[in-house]
Amino acid sequence: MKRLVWFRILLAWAAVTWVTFAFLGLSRTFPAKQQLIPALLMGNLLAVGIILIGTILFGRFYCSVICPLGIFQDGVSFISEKIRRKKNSFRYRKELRVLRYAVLVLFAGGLFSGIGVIPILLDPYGNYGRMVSNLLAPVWRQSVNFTADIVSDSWLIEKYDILPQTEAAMIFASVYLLCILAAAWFGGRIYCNTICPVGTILGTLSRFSLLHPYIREDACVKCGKCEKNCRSSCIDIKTGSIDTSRCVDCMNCIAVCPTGAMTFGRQQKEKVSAEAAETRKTAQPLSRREFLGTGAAAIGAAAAVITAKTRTVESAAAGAKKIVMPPGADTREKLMNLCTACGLCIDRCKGGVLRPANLEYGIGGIFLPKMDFKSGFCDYNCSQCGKVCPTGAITKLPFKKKRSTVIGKAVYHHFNCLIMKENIICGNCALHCPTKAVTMTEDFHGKKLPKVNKDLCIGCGACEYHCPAEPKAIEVNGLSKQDKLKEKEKPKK
Amino acid sequence: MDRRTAIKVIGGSVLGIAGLGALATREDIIRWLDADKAAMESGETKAGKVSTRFYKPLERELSVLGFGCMRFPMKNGEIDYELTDKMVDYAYRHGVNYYDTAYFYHGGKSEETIGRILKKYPRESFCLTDKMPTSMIDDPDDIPEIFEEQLRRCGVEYFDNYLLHSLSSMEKFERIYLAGGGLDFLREQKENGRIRSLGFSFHGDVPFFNYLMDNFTWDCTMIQLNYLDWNEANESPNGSRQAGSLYRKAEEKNVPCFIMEPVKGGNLAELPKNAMDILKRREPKKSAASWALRYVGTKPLVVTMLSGMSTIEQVVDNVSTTTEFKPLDDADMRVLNLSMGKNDNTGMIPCTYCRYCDPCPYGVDIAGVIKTYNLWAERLGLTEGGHGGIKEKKEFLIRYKNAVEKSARADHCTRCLKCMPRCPQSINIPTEIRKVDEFVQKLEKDIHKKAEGASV
Repeated sequence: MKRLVWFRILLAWAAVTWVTFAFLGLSRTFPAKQQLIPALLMGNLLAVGIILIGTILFGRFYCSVICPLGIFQDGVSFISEKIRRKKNSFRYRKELRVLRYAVLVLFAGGLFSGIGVIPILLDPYGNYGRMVSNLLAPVWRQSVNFTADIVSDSWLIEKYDILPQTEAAMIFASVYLLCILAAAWFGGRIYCNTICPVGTILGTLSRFSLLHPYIREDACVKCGKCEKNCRSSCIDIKTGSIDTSRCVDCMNCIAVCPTGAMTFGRQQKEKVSAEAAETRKTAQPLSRREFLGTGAAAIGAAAAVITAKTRTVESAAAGAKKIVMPPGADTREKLMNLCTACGLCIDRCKGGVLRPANLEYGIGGIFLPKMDFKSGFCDYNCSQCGKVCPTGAITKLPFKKKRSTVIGKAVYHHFNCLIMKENIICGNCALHCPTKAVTMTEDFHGKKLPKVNKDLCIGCGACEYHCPAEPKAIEVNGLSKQDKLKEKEKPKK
Repeated sequence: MDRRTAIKVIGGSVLGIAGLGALATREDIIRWLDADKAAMESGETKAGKVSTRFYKPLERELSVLGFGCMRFPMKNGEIDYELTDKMVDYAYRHGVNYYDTAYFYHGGKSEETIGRILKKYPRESFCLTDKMPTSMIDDPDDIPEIFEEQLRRCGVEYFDNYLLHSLSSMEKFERIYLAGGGLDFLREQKENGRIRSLGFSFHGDVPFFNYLMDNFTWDCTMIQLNYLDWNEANESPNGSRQAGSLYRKAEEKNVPCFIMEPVKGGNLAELPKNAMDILKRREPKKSAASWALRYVGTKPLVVTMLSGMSTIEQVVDNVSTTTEFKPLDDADMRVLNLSMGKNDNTGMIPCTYCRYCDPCPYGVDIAGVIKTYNLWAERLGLTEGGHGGIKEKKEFLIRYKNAVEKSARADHCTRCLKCMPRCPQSINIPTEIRKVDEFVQKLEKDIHKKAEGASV
């Protein structure tokens, strides 16, 4: 039984490494697609089913061996225990049920009404992803480049192109990281058990889980070690009860129990003493105050969601003209409804063109991927973003489809062009256009000028990226609904 | 580590014994240089001296190898003064007494640096050359001021050798130096003793060179000469391949020659494998650069050849090549010609990476792009008729990506043509850069086609 904790630690390490590597481009993105919220959004019923049924059977195993943010907090808590030498620092705390369900209602409201910002800020996987993509990945890239320079004589290591960081996303990720660090350092799993909506959903199910840790009263000596080691603060040794809605199956209590009284399995009803049952009854049910509190919070949340929605729609409409979405995003509504802004597509973008948005999509679409043609252009022969997207916000497109997906249209601004300003016939836009939509044609003065054939343009931005003029003489305007190239006008080749 | 083993180690890396040289850190090199100096001062080791040749205008012996001050070692974007100092000291101790700088080398920092370094040696023991930056001068009246500034920067009273830098167009020469009185001013300085011998360095075409030689008297001239740029009497000059014509004209007028780019900007230090194999068979322990230097030194009119050395390996290798200098004999020449036969038509761009083309107004790292192309395209079998497959194509792209930053790659060239007149090798830079860009795009397409074909 005591080996369960090692089993958990092993699985946790495997999972967190795998997810993190996926962001750094070192492994496939399979584990990202098994996260609860992305799987729900993707409609990946198999993964959702396994997680939910698993939770009903075994409790919140998801939080300790699948969720990278949960595992990360376990790690922080572990280090904190080592450094502070206060391994036994936890005490039983009462569940903050009002807060938990209020946040859940807010989250669900945001999810269903398409107010992206709420799920974006609350989804644990998305938050972990942004921390990796905005804080760890730059460090990783720099160190790879550094190593590549050192060993360049003996080994060939591909360097990364270093792109400028998006400050807002970086600052937000740093703030979030600090909060998580503080919460986990001092409170163990307090974040998972009060804020995290996934924790609340799974917690609700695991309240009724079939198997869970429990205390065999006959063997228990009430030493309290389990309570003091419980990062979820969910063991109450006084009553001998465990709040299974907060237990994340970390198995630490089983490992520290000196008498083996702490067991994982099915608790037999009759073994609960009458006295303990009595106290538990008073402890568990929803009090009236809590009920009213939850209701009020729910109404408040709903109101907040609705007001936020009207506001986002307005601001989205205001800044709507130019922004270009990644191919496969289809419509702006779809992208904003489904994306949790984890940043996986941004990290894996081959052309370096996907960057986290600031407010271009409106507040509801903060940190969502957008095309930034200053840092790159969409590679004609690449469909990575759709391939890696765990939520289905960017649809996976086969190469053929990707190449005929129209994400924007190029517009030529005559007076910005070098040909007009400095009489340099540069032709870079035509030279790099993959569909030959931009060509150099002569005007009536015999001057060579670029000309955009709107029927062929797919909006990849190669022209805008390569345009040397400042401000750009050719730029791509996004479409709020992505289009297909018409069959007969597709370029031959 | 004593000097002998150190030379083996450092020399070893020059010869391409993989890895050894790469492991020596800057600190190791400095320590080794210090140890070498101490050993020489205590008389423990007797260093051979670099061979010398008599230079009549100065009535003195000059070392065959000159230290060019255009490619000093860099650290954090600045000249690494400490390392440079010790490298120059190494060269000085081994008999190198010719130092060549110019107004705009290292953005103007070269003159200061070499002046500061040479301060500690007796003024008579070395020969310092500086040049009037022809390309920067618009108004001939600036010439005296620039000359004074050069003396000040170098911290000397006179220049042993003074050259008109990089003459390339007759129009400008006549405007600045004849009509503008620049040449008269410099001749005056020569009478005053602030210039001991006056010449010019040359980057133009053969007729202009003949005009300069026929109409004026010069103490010396500096031309680009190496075995790739040499043309025989029956070959008409073509691009940078005109050294033979220039040399023969100088010979006719009996003007001593100083040589720049003897290794063609390092191009001849890294030969394609098949060419290198031929040279190795003759001289297994000698580097490719040593062949290039010996070729130049074999020409009798050559006084000193300049090498812009930026690593200690290069200094050690070049010093050892020119110590007890051995000209190429007929057998050596046959071997070299054989290796060149293999070297033809590699599609290399004849760039010497001198970076006179910098800065590109659109940020293209011209020399970096061309260097990657020259070094790897042929070697990986990707030029016409090559046998490079997908693996080689991928490798080339990685090399390209690693060597040149995203914003400085060939795809940003706009054909603005600003670089063209600056190129001393008369390379049609925009065309070549676009050629590389197309080449890269084609590789990307090929790789994708292969990958897609495999996945379907």
